[in-house]
Amino acid sequence: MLKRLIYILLLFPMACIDPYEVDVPEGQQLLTVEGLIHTGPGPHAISLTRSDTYGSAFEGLIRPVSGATVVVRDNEGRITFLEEGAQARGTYFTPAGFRAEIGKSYTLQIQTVEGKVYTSLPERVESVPEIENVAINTITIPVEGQEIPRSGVQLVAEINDPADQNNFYFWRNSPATYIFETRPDLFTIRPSDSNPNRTPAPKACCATCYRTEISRNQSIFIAQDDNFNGLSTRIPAAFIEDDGFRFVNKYRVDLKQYSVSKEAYRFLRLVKQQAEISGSIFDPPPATIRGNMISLDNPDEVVLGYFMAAGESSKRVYIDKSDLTFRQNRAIVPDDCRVIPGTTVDVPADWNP
Amino acid sequence: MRKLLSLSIFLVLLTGWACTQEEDVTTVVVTEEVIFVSGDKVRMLGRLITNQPISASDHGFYLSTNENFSSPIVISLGVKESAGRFIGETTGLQINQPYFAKAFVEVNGVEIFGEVLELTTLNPIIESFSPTFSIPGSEMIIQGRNFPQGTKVFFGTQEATILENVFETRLRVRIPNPSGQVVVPIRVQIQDRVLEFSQKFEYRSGKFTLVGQFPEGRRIYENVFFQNQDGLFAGLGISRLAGYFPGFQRFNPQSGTWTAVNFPGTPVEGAFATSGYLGGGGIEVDRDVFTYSREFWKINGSTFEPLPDLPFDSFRSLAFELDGQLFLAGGTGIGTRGIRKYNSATKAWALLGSTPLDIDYSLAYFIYQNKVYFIAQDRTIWEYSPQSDSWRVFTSYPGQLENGFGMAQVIGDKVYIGLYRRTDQLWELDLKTLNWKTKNNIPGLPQSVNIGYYTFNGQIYILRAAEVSVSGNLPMELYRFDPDGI
Repeated sequence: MLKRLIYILLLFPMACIDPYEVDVPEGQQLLTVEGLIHTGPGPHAISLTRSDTYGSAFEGLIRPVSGATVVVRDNEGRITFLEEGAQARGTYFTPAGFRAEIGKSYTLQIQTVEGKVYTSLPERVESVPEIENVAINTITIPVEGQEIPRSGVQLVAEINDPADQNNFYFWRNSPATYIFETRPDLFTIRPSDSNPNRTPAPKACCATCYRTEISRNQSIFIAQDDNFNGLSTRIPAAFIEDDGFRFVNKYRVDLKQYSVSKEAYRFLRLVKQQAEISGSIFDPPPATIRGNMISLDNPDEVVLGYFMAAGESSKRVYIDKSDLTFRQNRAIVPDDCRVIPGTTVDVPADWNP
Repeated sequence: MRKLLSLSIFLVLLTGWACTQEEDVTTVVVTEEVIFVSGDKVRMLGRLITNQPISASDHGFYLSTNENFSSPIVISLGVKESAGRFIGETTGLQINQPYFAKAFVEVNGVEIFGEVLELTTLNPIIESFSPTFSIPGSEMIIQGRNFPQGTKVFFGTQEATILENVFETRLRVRIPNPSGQVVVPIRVQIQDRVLEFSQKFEYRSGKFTLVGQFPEGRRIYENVFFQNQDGLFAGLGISRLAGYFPGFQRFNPQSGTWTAVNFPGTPVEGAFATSGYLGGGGIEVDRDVFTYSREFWKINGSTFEPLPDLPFDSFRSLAFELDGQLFLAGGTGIGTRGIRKYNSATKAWALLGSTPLDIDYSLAYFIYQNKVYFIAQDRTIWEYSPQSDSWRVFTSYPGQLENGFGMAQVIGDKVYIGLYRRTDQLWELDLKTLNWKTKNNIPGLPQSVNIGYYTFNGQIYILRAAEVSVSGNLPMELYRFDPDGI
């Protein structure tokens, strides 16, 4: 009997196994610098943020770094002070009239309110060829399980690459403006407890507005001239997705072409690779991409992002609905077009399709 | 045989031991980039690359003006226990001087160097300074490039204190006291190089000197003042706590003495006076009730010759002489928009057209090139042409008017306007260019009013009194103002 009792008592300690505590190191909050100065009209923006730690999910917010002293210095010692935007904390703008000059090198210098000093490596501004022409291609992207594919417009830049220099290209879009059409005649009163029906209440105005939006590429468009040095070539430079509104009538965008440094191109290429990881076994492993910013207090501190200086050329493009070979079904807004953010009924002064 | 086998095995083992190779330790130092160059400062980036744990007793950079690195400047960053980047910085270099630089690491007493980079320190450049006109003790910003530590700024011969050197591109300096010159060159000295702005800095000028006090410690108000070949006169009006002041005091600016001058007429307040005429005014018989005097006098030096009485009342009017003719404008009797002219030959008075502004004795005015200028209450300066009896807006006064009673005195092509009641500001207007410039403030009690002002030998004399409401033994003070003094 006693023997059985002993066996039973022996079972208790076996149930009291301590859980194993994994000691995960605390992540660092890293300064992130993102900015481009160029030879085009300004203001040019430098954004400073501080990354937050994350484990299985984001635990904090990416916060703007406010109150810093931010200057751009050229290789002759000329300093340009940037001013923090009143409406955009953490984003610092060059003064009116500032333009980078071809052939000069620029460094970004930052002093945070904590007194830490950061500097970029010098970035030299290279000249950039003009965009000779912009071709418009309609792109469709099949979506699994859906009958209608995603679609949009691909802008293809035609450039005459100079033979006497090694060029690294980067393309971005300016804010776009397009004719935004709605159906105010279909407006109905929102159902309420007193009137659960959608009572038609057509509005007399307005069916056509001009909407301006920040058009962000969903990918990074870059190229280097290893394969076309000195030749005329056509390169995809932007993709604008059709959301059922943009290409109902007329769409306008300025395609900006930049000549970045070799190091900046390398950085953008690595970011592009990381951003386009699809989960396949051929994807590159995720890794921290080091930029060109250095902490003067601790050179081994990881500072994310890149300060770029580049030559800029620009080409304005008007895209008509007839330029697209495939369009999304027109989205209908049954209301006055002026209720949509970023719209105006006034024709932009420089609207010249 | 067994012995032979044992020997063979032993030799094979020996051979194996002898062929054991040590793994190579690779240590590379890279002089990566010069990341900052200014007039006297350089900042460089180096990198230590190694495939083994390392303990360097020192690392840093060599900097030299020659490629052989003889007598180098060593930027020593101390012990380094791991591979990675390092940044070195040094100051005190010569401006506009080529240098050679290389990174180094010292391991086990052996120095390993990176490749040599060339750099040239930059030239300092001055671009602008602001303000171009100010007072000692205030701040000035000098814009430029590559201002190293030890930069000096001079205002003429006076060295300024540098309060801040912002990114070697903006100097915030304290303006030093002047050395006697109003307009001085601004020089920036960097090492042995002196840079000078083409534009000069101007100190705010204007020197007030207290030259005396009104006799007997009296303070008079509602008085008249004028000047002629005999001296500077102030008198009549009300003596504080002592009734009407019956005569005049005359100041001789050359001897600095006061002399009492008798007045044969009735002591009044609110009279008018020019260098040649005096008259009008009134006597307060009850609170704000006056009996007006129509006495009219010709002034001959320090004596007064009676003229026929005025055909109208004139109380607190403004009087001026032009081409030997007397003009009376504004005030009670004539009317605030009225203006009358006296013909000394016929002894007749003529009524001229109405004025576009209200005029009385509280308005400052001045005469320049046969035209009269009135500084109106709204700061507009009106130009009056007596020949054509016409008016036009001339310019606008930028200073404080407060409650009137300012002064305006012309010296050459410049007029000095200001010292309104309870203000100590004085402005200079260049009548050729219409540029305004502030002058130094008048010292003394802030609650003061002008009792008289005169121009003599290119300087302005100002008789000031504490306001009538200010009690105490505060005699009137006579200041001499030198517009270009400092």
